[in-house]
Amino acid sequence: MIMHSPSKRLLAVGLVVLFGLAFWAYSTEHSNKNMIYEPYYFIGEVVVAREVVRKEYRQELVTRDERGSLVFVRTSRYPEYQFGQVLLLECQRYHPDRLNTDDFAYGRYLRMQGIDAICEDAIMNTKNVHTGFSVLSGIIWLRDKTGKAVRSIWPEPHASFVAGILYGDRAGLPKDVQEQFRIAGLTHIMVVSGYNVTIVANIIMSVLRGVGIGRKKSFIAVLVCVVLFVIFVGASASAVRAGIMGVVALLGKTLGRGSRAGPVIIVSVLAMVVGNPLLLVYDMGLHLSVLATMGLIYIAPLVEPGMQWIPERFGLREAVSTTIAASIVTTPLISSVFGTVSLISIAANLVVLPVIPVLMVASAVAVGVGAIIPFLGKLIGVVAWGLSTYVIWIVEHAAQVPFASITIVMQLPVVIMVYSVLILWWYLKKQKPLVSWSVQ
Amino acid sequence: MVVSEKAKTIGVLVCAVIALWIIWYTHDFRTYAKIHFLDVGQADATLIHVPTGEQMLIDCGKDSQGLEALQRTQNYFDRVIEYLVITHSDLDHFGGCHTILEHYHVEHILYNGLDKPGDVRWAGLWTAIVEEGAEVIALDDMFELVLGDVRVQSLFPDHDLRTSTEFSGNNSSVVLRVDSPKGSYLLTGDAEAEQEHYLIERTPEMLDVDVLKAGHHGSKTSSIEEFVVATSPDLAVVSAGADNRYGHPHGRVVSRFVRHEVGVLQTAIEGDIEFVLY
Repeated sequence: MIMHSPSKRLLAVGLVVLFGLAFWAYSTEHSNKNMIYEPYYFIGEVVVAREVVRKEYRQELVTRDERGSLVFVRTSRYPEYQFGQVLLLECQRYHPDRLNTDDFAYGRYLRMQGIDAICEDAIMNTKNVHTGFSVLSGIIWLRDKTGKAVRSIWPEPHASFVAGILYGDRAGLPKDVQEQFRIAGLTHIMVVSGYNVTIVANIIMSVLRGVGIGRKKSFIAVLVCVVLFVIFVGASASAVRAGIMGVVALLGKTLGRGSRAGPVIIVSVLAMVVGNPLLLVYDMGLHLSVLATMGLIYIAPLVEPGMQWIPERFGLREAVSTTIAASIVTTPLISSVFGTVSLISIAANLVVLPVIPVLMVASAVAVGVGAIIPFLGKLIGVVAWGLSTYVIWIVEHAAQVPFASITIVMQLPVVIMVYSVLILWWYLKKQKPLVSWSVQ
Repeated sequence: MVVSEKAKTIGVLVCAVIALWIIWYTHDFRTYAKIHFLDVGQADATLIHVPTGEQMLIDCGKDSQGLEALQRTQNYFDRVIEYLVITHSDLDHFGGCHTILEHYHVEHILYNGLDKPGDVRWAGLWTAIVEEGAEVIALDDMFELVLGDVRVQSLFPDHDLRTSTEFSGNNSSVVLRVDSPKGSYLLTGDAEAEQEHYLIERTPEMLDVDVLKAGHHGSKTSSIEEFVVATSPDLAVVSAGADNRYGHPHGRVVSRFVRHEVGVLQTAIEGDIEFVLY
């Protein structure tokens, strides 16, 4: 049994390792079911170890206790706690799985983020207000400043929308607007994902190429920018993934499709989950992100021949085929997990996505200038304001269209069937096997 | 790339339309002075603005609905609220202030001078106010303020409330009378019977208005018979949430208004309610 090329060998080995990891993570997870420990009363000093999440009525803190375990604490909105602050914490400590419900395994989600315990009815006293300086606190400070600049330029909901597309912070967006984005199938533009990273990377790439910098140097500069961007948005697991997927998509374009992009995806997925294989089984964001990237690389070229009637100008045809490809590939999974399928999604994406890169540049420039000369920032902000008004208008109306979103829960066999058909389609068009095996 | 004449014309037209549209939305076309009773659910927020750009916000609603409602009335370039009045320290009156402070520059903050010990949200608001650098005025006497052709007078507090415990909670609300060329308004916060009696006793000549904002969201503890007679409004505005659990406005209060031939407008039914001041 011989495999033809090294890249195919890598692909096969990678796939085997991935399945092995997934199986191992899944089985340990299930055998651990009975290990949920008894709650106990905790009194001790903790440090706020991650950026504090502030919601309308409460704050969510991730703290580290003296033994190094991470404890998740939900507390009232005030007084405000800061990253790095030392607190005296008194509470009932539980296993995170206590928060699991039938609808959403929130506890499991927390465990995937490395959380070891949750605290309820916490009593907290500030032990040390001085938070000291670290790279992370510097970044949090910078993002706070950016948030202030964004809010001083645009009114709501535009401000939260811009914060969403620039760095994934859509917390300030009213619930009903978020719901409209979901129905229209457009939430993904406000999430730090491979898609945002690709846009940013493409913009920087074309600017650098435009001023006459060589391809290789530009690519390295883009890589540095992507790393800085990932750090800026918090360097969370999902942000790192977005960075990697963005670069993979960029590479996919340069390397050509299929044969070489496949192993790159596998290797990057491996790199992402090696520290926490549980992600492989339960992280929906990872699944969607990998699927969308595969859609762009494998399915988009198959869709494109059917799109000859769309003019090629302004990259319109490519936009249409990639949108359709990404939707085809992600819909079965979304339907099986969330039970809804957005029918308006493709249309809404088509009219909204073309303005997103312009919107990102316009708003980033406005924020940058506005940080120095507030009035000028506001003036430049008019462009982004107009564009975001357009997007929000589209979303609002798309969400109102009858049957914009329908309820279909695809069962697992159907999902598997759909993906098999997709793979078969790709296989037949390719006229050569996914992995070439030849028995001699 | 060769661009045809036709494409050029279309391009210019599209740009012109976009430019006009931007000017339309960003330019301050507010040649009216208005008072808005904002629909903020089961809470209170009232805005007065005049063509010179000065604005006075009375209460902020209970949460981010306050900001949302406020922004329905704002223009793109004006991000300053000259006066913010917090009538008293109930969450449904100050809860939305924090978000508003995040988005707007507030110059002066007026309140009744009473603290609310032990309330972490109230304490959080004051941290934000200190950060904002607004001038804080604790009212200990009646005052008068002029915004364009609009005169705002406070009827309560007429003394320093911190010196006694006579007035507290709802009955410590800042009460404002707004006079404009097109009508007069009385805003009483959450004032209940006790405070209404006090107003009738102290400033009876200043109570007669065209529009009364019914005290305490139309609760049965407010808008007592004597007060309705003393104010003799044509209209009463009730700021309350649809199907709220308190049953505001109370049926008895509504029928009292009807008996005195006062029309009742509710934010829960009408949404934002606005009147032109001049």
